[in-house]
Amino acid sequence: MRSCRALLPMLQPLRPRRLQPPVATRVPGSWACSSGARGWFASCAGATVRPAGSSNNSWWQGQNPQEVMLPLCERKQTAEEVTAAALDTWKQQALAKIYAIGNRFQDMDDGPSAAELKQELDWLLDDATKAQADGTVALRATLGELTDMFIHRRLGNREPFQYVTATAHWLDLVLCVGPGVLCPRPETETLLEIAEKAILDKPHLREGPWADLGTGSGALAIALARTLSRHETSQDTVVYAVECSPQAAAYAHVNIERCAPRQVELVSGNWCSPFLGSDDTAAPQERLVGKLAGLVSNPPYIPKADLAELQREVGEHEPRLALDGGEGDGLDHLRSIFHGAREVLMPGGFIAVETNGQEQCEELLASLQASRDWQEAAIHADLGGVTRFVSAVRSS
Amino acid sequence: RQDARAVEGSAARAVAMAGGRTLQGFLLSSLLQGARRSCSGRFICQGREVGSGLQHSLPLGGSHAVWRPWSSAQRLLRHSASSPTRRASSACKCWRRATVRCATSGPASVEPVSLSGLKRQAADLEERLERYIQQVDEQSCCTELDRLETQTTAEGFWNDQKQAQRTLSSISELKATIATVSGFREQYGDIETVIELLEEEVDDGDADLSIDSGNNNELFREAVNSVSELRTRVEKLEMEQLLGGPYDSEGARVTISAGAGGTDAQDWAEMLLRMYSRWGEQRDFKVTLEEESRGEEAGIKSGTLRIEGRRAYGYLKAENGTHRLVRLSPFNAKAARQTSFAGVEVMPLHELDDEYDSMYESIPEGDLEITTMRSSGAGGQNVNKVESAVRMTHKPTGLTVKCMEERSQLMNRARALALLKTKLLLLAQSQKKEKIAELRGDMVRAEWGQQIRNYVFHPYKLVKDVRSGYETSAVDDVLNGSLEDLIFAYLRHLHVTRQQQLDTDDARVDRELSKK
Repeated sequence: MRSCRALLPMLQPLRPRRLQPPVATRVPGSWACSSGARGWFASCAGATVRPAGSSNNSWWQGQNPQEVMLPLCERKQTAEEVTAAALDTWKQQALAKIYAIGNRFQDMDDGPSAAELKQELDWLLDDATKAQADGTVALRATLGELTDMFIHRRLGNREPFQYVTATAHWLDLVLCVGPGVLCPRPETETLLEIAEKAILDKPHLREGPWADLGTGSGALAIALARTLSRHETSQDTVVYAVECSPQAAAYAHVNIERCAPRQVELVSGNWCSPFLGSDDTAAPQERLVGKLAGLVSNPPYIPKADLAELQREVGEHEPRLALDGGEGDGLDHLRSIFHGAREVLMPGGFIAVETNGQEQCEELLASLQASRDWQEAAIHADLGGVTRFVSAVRSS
Repeated sequence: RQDARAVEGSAARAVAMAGGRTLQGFLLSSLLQGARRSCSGRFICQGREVGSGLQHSLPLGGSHAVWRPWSSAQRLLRHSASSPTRRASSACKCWRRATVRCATSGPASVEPVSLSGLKRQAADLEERLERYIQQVDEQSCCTELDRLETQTTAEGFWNDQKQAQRTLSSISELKATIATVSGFREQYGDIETVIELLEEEVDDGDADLSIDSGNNNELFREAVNSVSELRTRVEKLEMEQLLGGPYDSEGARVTISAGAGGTDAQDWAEMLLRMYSRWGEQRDFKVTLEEESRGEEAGIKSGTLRIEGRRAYGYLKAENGTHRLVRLSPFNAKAARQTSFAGVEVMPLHELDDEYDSMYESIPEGDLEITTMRSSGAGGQNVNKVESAVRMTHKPTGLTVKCMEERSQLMNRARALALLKTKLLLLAQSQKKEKIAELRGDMVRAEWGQQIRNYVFHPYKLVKDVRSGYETSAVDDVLNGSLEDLIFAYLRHLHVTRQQQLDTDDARVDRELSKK
């Protein structure tokens, strides 16, 4: 196993570890992530299970054994085999259910429309089934499991499709997600673009470590690490993925192992606290005050008042911790991020965050422009035309 | 009177051609004799006034109308088409209106015989010089030259060889233009000085430069010579300015194919091939024979010449079309007078490929407009939808593509971009085909009635360009490669036609505007 990094002193004291790793955690060794079309069984063939106790960075494992399921497209084939006709029958039944629902979800709370549900069904079958030459169909989940997944959990319970398949496609990564972690959003891809552009324009940003605050599934951290390694930075550069929720960190750990194992460090903490050493339990042996080159974050920013009106997929099933921006305008966490970033970023360091859009964005921009600590404060729009991202540079 | 002399000259030539013994010649000479009797100086024929053949100031390449008899073949065609009842009355209508253009460039080409004539010519020359200099826009040339020269000193300039070569050639071109302009100014300054000297001499009474006596004065003759020389140079440069089309400065690929007429036509095609290669060599172009397919008995069925050099295409585009030869056939036992056709197709060398194939290899970001297809709302963390469709618009062409099959936004964007590039490539290909068809012009049908030029060896020697009306009897020189006059006449004609077209368009626009 990898030796622990110098970051260890920052972490919480080790908890008594379980002898067995959580159920169904299969970490198939480290390789670069692909889009899931890598060969039906290849990803699972050489799966190795990380022996318990070998990882010292397992502060999240002790608390609540999470069942970190592998993405559906990477699971092993089941013993059950069905004929194409049987699968077709099952599909027709599912379609009938979708037609029965129609656009009800969309009308209720801007949920998925019937067309979107049909698309999800197609993708589910893409992931879970493969037609064989002899007319049978190989399955990664039995038909019963598929029924449970789609009909009961997805259509009945309105669990997010990503939880049901345990898969989130983001950029060109295939990430593990499940209950307890926020599914990465397409808008956040634009946040990464902003960071990439800054890295391209300002070479000094490649010289120091970056951090992803509130990493969730580890999406931003992994993508950042890939970008930085493409620019041939010095070996010491690393991305710190900070996460306070143990459930989310379990997923982040799995994703980091799958996609960018040597470049991302998973750290426990609240926003910038690991770097400031302000957490009681963290020993500030390696304080990175004034040394971070860049920060990205997709923090919870939905005002508390809006939480009740969200679509059921988000409001009922995705973790509140990742969504609640606090009372009032929802800028609580964003404010604390900038407060900490003032200390942690090096002079000329870059920060980019995602906000709720329009008013939140402008308010944040106004406060940044008023402050002397920040320069080059700018707003960026997402592909839908909504101004959503704020970026700034720490003044020297 | 000068113009009358010119016209009579051509008429006399016509009479000589006809030998004075054929019906044509007789009719023509009688026509002109009758015309000469008119005192108003206008040609009168059959009681009808025919154009003002004696304009005093003939514009450059100006034309006037002359009545010519129909040739026997044409008369046959006309009469066979008409009904029997008309045949009787149509016997009178044996004349057709034809245009003869002055082959020379107008009154200014005549040598001045007095100081006032010289001064007038100098003034005219100065006007043309000014026009040329204005068109060349010396100021912007200088700034452009400075800019390009600073570019060459920048580091990394030699990394892109092609671009570097292009910049260097632009620099040399600009330097040449600026040098030419300053040379002109110098020369014109000299001419002005000489004219002043001559004026002083006249004032002092030393020389008498009134009409017909100026030829003895050496200084005067020198001035006259320099004026004419400068004028030819300016004319030549004006001509080059006419070559401002998109591909005019490229090399050319000339394809000659024998048309109707059998072995004669094949031999004719070979003669044309020889003509163009001689022309190219005379002008120091690099001429290569790319391919050739020989005819069975003689000549070639088709051949392609590759002529590399500056403005080769600009000049040779005057040759695009069908060329008709009339001569006593050496392949015919009875040595009958044969007509053969050959088609010439001229295309620019290779810019088209470069231009169109690599047009969309990399699309600049500013040209693309990328949007999601979701209805605008809060978005972000508020919404969890698996669909991440992307719509991409290419602003310059207006092409739009949508992609919704992939599972993440980035993959949809990549797929949409690939789709857009394919569509743009197809668009570029079709544009290229259209451009090629446009350059080729109407299909070169090597048959009767479509020719652009007639080369007649028998019974008279004449090369006549049907489009510009330019004609010369030095057929052998033309076939040996001296196509300059023909080409220039056509380019001038093209320029004039374009100007007229623009004027009519302007007039139409003005009328429309005034209506409103």
